Amino acid sequence: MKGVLLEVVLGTVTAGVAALVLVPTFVVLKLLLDAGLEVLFPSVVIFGLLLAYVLHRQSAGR
Amino acid sequence: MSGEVLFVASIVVVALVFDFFNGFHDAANSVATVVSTRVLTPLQAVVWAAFFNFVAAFGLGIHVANTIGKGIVDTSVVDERVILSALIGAIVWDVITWRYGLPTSSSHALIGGLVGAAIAKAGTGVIIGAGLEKVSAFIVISPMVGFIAAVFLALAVLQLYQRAAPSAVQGVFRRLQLLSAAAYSLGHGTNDAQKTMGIIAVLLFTTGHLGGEFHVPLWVILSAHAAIALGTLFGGWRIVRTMGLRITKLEPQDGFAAEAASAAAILFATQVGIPVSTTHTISGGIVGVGSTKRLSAVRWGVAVNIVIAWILTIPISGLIAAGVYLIARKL
Repeated sequence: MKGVLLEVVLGTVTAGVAALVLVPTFVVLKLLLDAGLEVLFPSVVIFGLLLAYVLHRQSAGR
Repeated sequence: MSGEVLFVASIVVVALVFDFFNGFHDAANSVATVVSTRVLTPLQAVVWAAFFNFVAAFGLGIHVANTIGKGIVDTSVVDERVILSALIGAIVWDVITWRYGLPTSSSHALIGGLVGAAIAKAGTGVIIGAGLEKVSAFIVISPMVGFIAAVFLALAVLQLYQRAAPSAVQGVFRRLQLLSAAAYSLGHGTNDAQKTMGIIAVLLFTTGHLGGEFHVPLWVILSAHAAIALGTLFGGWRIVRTMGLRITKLEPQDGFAAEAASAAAILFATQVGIPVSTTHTISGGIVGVGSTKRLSAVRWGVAVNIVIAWILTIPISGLIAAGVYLIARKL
């Protein structure tokens, strides 16, 4: 019983954290979309490639 | 029933069959992670995904259907032959890429087919540039957004459970995966079924079966969702049975992050009326989760082939549809 309750609490906290991560991401995306495709497209592509590069550097250093 | 009505009705059936195969083909995306992590049995997972594919008919709008119906090509040039050619173009390209094992988008094939057939009929002037530009840009943007959101989510989860016992982590994410799989199926159902709705609605509108104003009738909404849900039900079951022999090892938290991030990306695109490929988006999400562990694990040679097929989808399905239209016009 205690184990199930702990899982429910942890699950709720995780769902909250997921919302805290995803909602701002998509708010930024909507603002970029409103600014136009010419702003959204390069922003997303450059940020995505930079993120991939940073992850690559980090995993190479591990 | 007149010959014209029968012709329109048979094209509606072809469109629904296309939708069924969309569900059939994409079902594995929705259920693979929950099955591989043993959260649900294959049958339970398929029923779960199909249920949310259908439920997506209610309350998520029809922005994507409107974009497909009147935002890509000028509706004044659309007729039965254009729609039929578009569907044939999309189906042929889907079969070719399926034959070579490339996970391309049925949605983009459909858009390419529509554009190709319309150009073959009336030239490039009938294309609505802004609509096509947006769809084309999102071929790159949607998997990239899936990637970025999945990386953020996977890193947040990693931080949150840094010191937790592995058994506790497994327990929590087995339950959360039910939610993320449901959200993904909801996104898949709404974005993909709306493409078929748009095609059927524009066909009915241009042939005078819809009255004076473009709209998507309720029976079209329900039948498109029923077709994709049935496709998931049949396709998912078959594909998951095959996968049982060579299943990919996935941790529940990885499946959760990839699915939740992709679902958010697809639902976002649906709300702003952009038809995106659900396959591309979850591919981005999976690469994102994998990248937080080891980027070198990504097989770049395979990835490049897939991206080339993604880029070629609209032009080639368009060329096929144009060819079909030129033949159909003479019949």
